[in-house]
Amino acid sequence: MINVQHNTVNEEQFRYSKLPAKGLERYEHIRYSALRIDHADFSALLHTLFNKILESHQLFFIYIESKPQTIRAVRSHKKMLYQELQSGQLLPAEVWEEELKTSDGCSLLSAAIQGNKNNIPFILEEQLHTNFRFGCILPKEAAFSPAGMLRALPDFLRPQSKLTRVDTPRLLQYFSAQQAHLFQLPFDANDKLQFSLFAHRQDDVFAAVVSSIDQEYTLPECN
Amino acid sequence: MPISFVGRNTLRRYRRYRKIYPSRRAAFRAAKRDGSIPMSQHPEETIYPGTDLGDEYGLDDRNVRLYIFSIFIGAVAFEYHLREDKEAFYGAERGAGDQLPHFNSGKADRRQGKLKKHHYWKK
Repeated sequence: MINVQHNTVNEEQFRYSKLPAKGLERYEHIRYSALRIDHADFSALLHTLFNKILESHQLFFIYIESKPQTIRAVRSHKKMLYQELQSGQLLPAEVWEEELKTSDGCSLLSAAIQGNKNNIPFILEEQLHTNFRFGCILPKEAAFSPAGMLRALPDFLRPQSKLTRVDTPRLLQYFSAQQAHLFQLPFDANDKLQFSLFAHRQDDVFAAVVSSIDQEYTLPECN
Repeated sequence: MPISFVGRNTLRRYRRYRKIYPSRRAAFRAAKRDGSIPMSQHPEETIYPGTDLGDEYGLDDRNVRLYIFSIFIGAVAFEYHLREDKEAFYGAERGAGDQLPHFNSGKADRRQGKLKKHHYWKK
């Protein structure tokens, strides 16, 4: 079974960020965690959530490689999802890729995948690797440009970090204007599976989906 | 005893104990070799429990440190984790399940959440 915790979002959670907590109160932080032995439950939760929200929302998965690399022609041509596109596991219409040039003459590859009913099983099975950084869920009518997001990515990375790490409060401030939700799969050193969801409080449809997920998967309370 | 005549559990134990190395250094080198990391490559970052990053990665008093290396699949850089854990005693009969100090290593898959390779060393 899954353990679910609902919390408010505050600065304390993000000690690395020097950003004022403006706008964070619009979000609720929901953390789903399970032991590794509950792996099947955890997968089922992600499947259910993503399939339910696809009816009313758009879903994007954002990838950034772990460290900038020297620019090479092959790398610039193939970018991040060459194999997946060649094999037909992903379609060009649902993928955006960008090579971000860094100040030291290197580049950082990034990609966005739009989730839909057909590719969700593949993404959940194969594409939640270390380079998956975050995902966003936006209302269907929201105007969102994944290519624009990828180009703006350097603004959302922690500058003091040698490896790629996203600045979550910055992302939340960016997405709060569009009433978007953010999710991450934080790594846990001690084999716990975690799914971290920052849900915008003003989206009633999404709140209904989350509460139905909670009812379905929450660990029953023991007396 | 030839391997073909031993039971499945014995074989599993046999495989596991083959990964006991004489020293920490030997275990570390073997873990790097298993991850196809060049011996000359240094970790990009070393993270300790009790620090902000350590908390973010979920390290606690069972862990000693977490080394993060960069590996390449095609032309794309991925993180490869190599975590050093303390020895563990679970109090079972005849020390069943107890572990020597070891390295856990692997490509940190965010959904599987487990570093599968173990490299133990004798204290």
